[in-house]
Amino acid sequence: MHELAISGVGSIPVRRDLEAPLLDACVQVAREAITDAGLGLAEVDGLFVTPARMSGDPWLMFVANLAEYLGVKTKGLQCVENGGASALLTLRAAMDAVAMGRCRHALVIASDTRPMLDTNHFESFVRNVVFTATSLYGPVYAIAGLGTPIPIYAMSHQRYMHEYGVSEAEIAMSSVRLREHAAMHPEAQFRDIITVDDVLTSKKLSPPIRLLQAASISAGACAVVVSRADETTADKRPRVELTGYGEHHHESHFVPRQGSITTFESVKVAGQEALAQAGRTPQDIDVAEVYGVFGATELILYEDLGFCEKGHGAQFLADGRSTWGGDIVINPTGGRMSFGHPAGATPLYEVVEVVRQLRGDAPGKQVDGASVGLVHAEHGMMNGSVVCVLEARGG
Amino acid sequence: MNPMEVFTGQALEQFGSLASKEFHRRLHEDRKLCATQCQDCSETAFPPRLHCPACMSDSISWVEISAASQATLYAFTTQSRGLRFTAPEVIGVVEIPDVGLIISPVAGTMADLQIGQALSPEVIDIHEGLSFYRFVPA
Repeated sequence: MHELAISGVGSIPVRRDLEAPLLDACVQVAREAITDAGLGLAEVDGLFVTPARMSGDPWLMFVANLAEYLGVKTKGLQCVENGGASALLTLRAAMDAVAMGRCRHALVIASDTRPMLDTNHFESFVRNVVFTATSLYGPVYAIAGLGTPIPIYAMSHQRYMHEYGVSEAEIAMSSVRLREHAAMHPEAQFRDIITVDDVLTSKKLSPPIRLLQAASISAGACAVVVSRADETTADKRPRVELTGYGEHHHESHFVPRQGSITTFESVKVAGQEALAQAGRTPQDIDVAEVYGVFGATELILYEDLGFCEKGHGAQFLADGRSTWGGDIVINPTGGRMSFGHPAGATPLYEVVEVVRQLRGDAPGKQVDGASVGLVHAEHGMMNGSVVCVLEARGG
Repeated sequence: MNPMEVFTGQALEQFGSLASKEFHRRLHEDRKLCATQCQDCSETAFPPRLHCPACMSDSISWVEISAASQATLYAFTTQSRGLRFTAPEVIGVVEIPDVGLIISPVAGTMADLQIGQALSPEVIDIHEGLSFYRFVPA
């Protein structure tokens, strides 16, 4: 088994829609990541991607289309999908290929476009939303008529307040803090400073969740190159190695029949596995990007990943312990609620940010001396999680 | 029938399992909300299925979730934009001893309902060919 490094990263800003067609956006981030790794296209021998769209019309053999358009010959060509965790599972496919010696430099591209629902044609619009919901929630729960999973997260939020005695205003502070982070990040979609009052008077989606406590549906694309650690080019900057990986999937999908909706087994188990493999504790982490798609979810993740005690996430955040000057900087991008959320690409954007932080290459928002980072992604409502630990070496 | 219901029927046909089809038939024809239970290890499953998710046995029986099942309201909300049961109608998670947590529409208002209150199930008609369940305050 070979030791692994992220040798190159590339990204475009997260926005409402892509500026260029999807194939061209993918080429742009691929070129940036390959160049950043000090490689040429001929040295890339694996291509691993997320699906072309997380919902909407299928794009058959997208990865083969993209390989041809890029002009890359590979020993591994694969598209991986499982909801919000897709991009980190795609990264794992690349990690496996490089660790086993199948590939030397595997290119990972993750992207998402907003679903282009045909609202001008009523029947095709209705067919799309009904079929999407039935595939997502299954043929029993489909009749409950859930559109997005916001109501499910709203019930987690309600239970969190009920079980731990946390107020709406305390949870709203997570949106405020993340917006402060996004304001410093040029790739973030939502950068105007907001107050707790703004959050608590924004549009009700599913009570207690309001608009400013919810991740957007956005578009974006980013890429990384996974290389053998001993084959990264000599460079003055630190090499970023993948030192820990954890993955755990509970058997449930959205609501666990037996279990909790305010603490998540998959987050705890995947986090512990990744930290143990790296020989690290949560307190060793300098910078983290986590998949907090709603206000209370964000805080639950801080707790379940071990950055603070259970039920203390809001206090931890309010005390400034999750931002610059605190114990750790969590979601320096602005997180899912302010960075913008192209779900298919989000977890790889998290990796890109942590790599830049560990290289000391995050001007204007650098976490001083960051040497150990963590990323987390999930699917369903935290029914499955993937956690990676990344560390700066040398430089 | 409106397009929503035509496509719902097609989607249930396409994504359905043998168990989900029997579940919907029991709701619509027998007017019963059912889970499945393993006859070998007693594990209950919801949504229902024709094998046991604990021991893989295919010896399965259907068990009714009734007013005697001691259901309580675990959490509840509404949705401003949903396919059905949109605001002010309430969507909840219901806790049922021996079954666990299930998603269900709940009769009542956001102002009146409370976590922990007792509920009982009832069958409701979506249209002439399809029924569903909801829970109402007991």
